[in-house]
Amino acid sequence: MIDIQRLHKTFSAGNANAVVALHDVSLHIPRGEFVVLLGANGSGKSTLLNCIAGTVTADSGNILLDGQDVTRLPEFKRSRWVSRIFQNPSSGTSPDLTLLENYRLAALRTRHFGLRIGTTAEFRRTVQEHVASLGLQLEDKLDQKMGTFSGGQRQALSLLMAVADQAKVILLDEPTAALDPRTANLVMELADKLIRQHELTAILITHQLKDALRYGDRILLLSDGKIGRDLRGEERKSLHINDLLHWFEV
Amino acid sequence: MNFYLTALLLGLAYGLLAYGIYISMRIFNIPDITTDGSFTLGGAVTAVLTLHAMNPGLILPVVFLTGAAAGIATGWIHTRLHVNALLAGILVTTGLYSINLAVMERSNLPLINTPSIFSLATFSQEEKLNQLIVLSAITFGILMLLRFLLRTDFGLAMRATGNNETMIRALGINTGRMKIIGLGLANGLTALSGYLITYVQGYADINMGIGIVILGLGAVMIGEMISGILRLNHVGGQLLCVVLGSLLFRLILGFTLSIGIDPIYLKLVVAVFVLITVSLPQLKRAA
Repeated sequence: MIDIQRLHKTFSAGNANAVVALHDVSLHIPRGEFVVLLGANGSGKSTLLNCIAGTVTADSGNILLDGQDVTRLPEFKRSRWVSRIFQNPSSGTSPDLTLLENYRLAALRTRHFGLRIGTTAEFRRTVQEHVASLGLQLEDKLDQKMGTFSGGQRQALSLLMAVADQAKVILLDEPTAALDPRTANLVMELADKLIRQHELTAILITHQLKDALRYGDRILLLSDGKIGRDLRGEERKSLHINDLLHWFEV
Repeated sequence: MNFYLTALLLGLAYGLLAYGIYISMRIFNIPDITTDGSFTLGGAVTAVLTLHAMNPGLILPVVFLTGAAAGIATGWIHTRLHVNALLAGILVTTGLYSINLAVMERSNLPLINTPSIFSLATFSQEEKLNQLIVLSAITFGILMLLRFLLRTDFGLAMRATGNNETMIRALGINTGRMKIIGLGLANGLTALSGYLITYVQGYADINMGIGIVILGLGAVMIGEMISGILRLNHVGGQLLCVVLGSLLFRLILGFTLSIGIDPIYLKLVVAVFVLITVSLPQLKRAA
């Protein structure tokens, strides 16, 4: 589903402050795999994710989504494959639009934004059902502005919105970093459930080592712009939190 | 009576300017100064085409399109050449001054005994009353069109572009293109306001747009105060309040003049009034 071939990215190239964020990274992620991306600050995790999303353009190398080369495609054209969950809960939703209107926009991610009113009674019923499935008692608040909800509520709604249209790839950049521990757990459980239910190919960046062990099929460790460790299957299952802590110490 | 009627007429005619500002500054969050030039452009095109005996009804779409072209130019300079929005608007407005002068061929074009949008439809023999009816109908029509547009899927994407660009780009919207369209729409409406004003006052003048952006902004902010007080959250209510804001602003300015303040100080009064409106929340907090 995601093919990354010899991706290279240097920030402020040719300058004394040049930083090599990605160094010849190659990676294949098959359809439906849930990858957890670990690494210290500055190791290149976010750059890798941003290259896939299209907010950062790589210097060289290629990115293929579903067999199609998207390396040169602008961010907004990649929404056909990619949906994203941001670290900051307010990044994923539009605060002055209502819940229903936000949901409508998300439901059109792979489609055309036309001159018709899409927030119909029928659409409202569908949203109501989906929102009710969260169990957060938000189903009667569809006309409330998104900005009035808490960070946790917004993050949960962002997740729901990410699968409102046929999604293939979901990129989660520290989705729970701004949440309290209890809400963080709820949001991670929801993310895991939706990823499995919709058979999404997922990449999760997290600094929560417990989450890295609890969720996902594969763990990648980036260090200094290279893939330091890549564990899946039995190796991945036998990992202990002390192993992960040890990785960060060296 | 006549005095308030004139204020109402101007308030309605400037209402479309307020819609232009509402779209660029409130929906798209772009400080757009193209307004000064596109307003005059609307007036200039109206006067010249009227003097060339073109039907005022046909002039209306032409004016909208020329104003839209000015906005598209600003949008293009801002999003494609990555020039600061404020500077892009100033550049286009500066250029438009020459273009407007070239269109008009002189600095003032009076319209005497020519047809106007008001001579197309006669609802009342009383001239000003007829103007009021025609202006109300046009304003209402545009309000309904905008209300529809902003509730469509495209309109939601427009509103989200100004509200959360990160999100809407991730949802597959070309935000650069969206801003160009938005500024085109805003300046098309502004030019239409120039069209109406030209017919209301009976002439176009090369300086009619100077500082006009502040009139629109003042109207929008009074409108927001009204919608805040009335707790009108939906799009239609907010659009209605913008026109009400424009009307109220005109009445306040008219009243200021009527109590004997020298017209020389009109722009100063406007500036101070808008300043008070902007800083009201801050002053309340301090108190």
